[in-house]
Amino acid sequence: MSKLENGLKEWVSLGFINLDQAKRIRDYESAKPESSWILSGLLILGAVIVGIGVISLIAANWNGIPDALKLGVDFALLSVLALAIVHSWETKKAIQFEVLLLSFLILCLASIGLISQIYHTGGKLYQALMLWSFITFAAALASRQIFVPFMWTGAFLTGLVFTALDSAALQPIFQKHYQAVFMTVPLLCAGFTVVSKSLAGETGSTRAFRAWTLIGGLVALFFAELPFLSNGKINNGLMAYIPGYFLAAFAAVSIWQSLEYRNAQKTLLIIILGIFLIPFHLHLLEIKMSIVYATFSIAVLGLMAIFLASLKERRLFQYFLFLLGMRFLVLYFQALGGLATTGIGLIISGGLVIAVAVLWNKYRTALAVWAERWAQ
Amino acid sequence: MIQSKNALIFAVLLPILALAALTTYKNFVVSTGKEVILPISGYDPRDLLSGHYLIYQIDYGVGEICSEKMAKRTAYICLEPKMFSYYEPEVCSKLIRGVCNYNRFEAGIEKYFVPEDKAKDLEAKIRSKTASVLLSLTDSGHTQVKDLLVNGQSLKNE
Repeated sequence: MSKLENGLKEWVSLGFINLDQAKRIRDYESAKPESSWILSGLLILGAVIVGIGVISLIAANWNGIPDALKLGVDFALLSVLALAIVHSWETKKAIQFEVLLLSFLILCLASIGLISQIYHTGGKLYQALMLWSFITFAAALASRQIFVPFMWTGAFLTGLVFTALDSAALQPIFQKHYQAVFMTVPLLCAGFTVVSKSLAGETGSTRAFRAWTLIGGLVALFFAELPFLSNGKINNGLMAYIPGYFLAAFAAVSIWQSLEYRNAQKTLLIIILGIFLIPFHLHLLEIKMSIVYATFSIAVLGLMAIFLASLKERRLFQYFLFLLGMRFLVLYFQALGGLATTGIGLIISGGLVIAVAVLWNKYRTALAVWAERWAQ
Repeated sequence: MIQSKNALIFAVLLPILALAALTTYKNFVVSTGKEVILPISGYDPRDLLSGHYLIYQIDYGVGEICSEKMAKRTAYICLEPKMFSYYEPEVCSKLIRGVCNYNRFEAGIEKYFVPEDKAKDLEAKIRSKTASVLLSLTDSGHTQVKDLLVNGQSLKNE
């Protein structure tokens, strides 16, 4: 029996709805077009595998085929896919549209590889990713789902990070300032989220940019704590932080002007933004104690969990709560150092892991309810 | 975000046109540039996107290049008259524009893609014989690889 059928039976038995209302709900739901996540997922997986296959074929560099023919077939395939994309958009075939769009984007990347191979260009992978990101930006925005823009943003951010650290134009500013680069990435994604939301609403692109803001923020916090990535000279590194400062200011203004959040949520989000920026600057002040970095990471994770709970995003709240527990555990290992690997240390560590899991499982719902009420 | 059919057509045409423009430009450099042959030495790693290639160092015969040990910086090698400079020379008939990456000059011409099944044979030939690269140069210093020569013979005929 389906989940809906179970729900309807329960609501009828409890008197929330009558039999007629249950029938109308059932009829309405059964009239909806089929949207299967499994089907979409399998089709997307298929498109990705076909794309990887095309890239592998190109990588084999078959010398039996003349270059002009390789290019001709490549452009013909691109054109056919483009026509099919427009056709599926017109006929409103949503899943087909997404699969074709994804195949088209992968083929564009493979085409850059093919051109690079035929003309023996010495470019690097991040340069190919940047070129691909720019030329497929509009096509990625056409997607109604999250997967295509999510993949596009991932490739763009990878290209951007390596461009900042390696290209001749940006390297003089960002060279070895990994902290500044990692700090800037989630702020850039937050900026994209704001722009996408204001231009198009809650689309797949907006959700993808928001997802990368969270992922980028977590990755950035991780890298902020790695001492070997810091280039601790305040006089030669500040330029690298300026784009991040502008983006942080833009994010703060956007949060404050948002109609989506209540004042308590806005205040909390701006506090999180402020605390997030601090650990990327500690090495400039020659602060190297890991406990200081850990404190800021824990504060960001904890406050983000509360903020997400206040939005009733229970699943994300629980992920952040779990990460918070893990961070505390890592802090314990950092504090104990070599002692943690002794017999007693391992017993305590194992006990702590169990305690964190039990506490998380016991109190996650209560904590979510408390945090949801807090921001009312 | 894209609401109209025209916007969608633009979105899917843009990458096709951009890739066509890139191909045309590369083809233009190869077919109209000045040809130069320079000796190389090489080995064989693998490119995840484009397959097997030979990567090599080019002997520009210009003496000391990229001597300043610093981060990436635009630089120029002039083959006629032979000179190296961090600034574009006013008089040069065969110019290569590139980047100094510490003490290495990189002009995007240090790779030659080869068929997967012939990569090892070709690598061995290049190690044991005299190899050189045939380049095509534009007046502005943009350079494209046209062919790889082993003992003066084109690799395309191998």
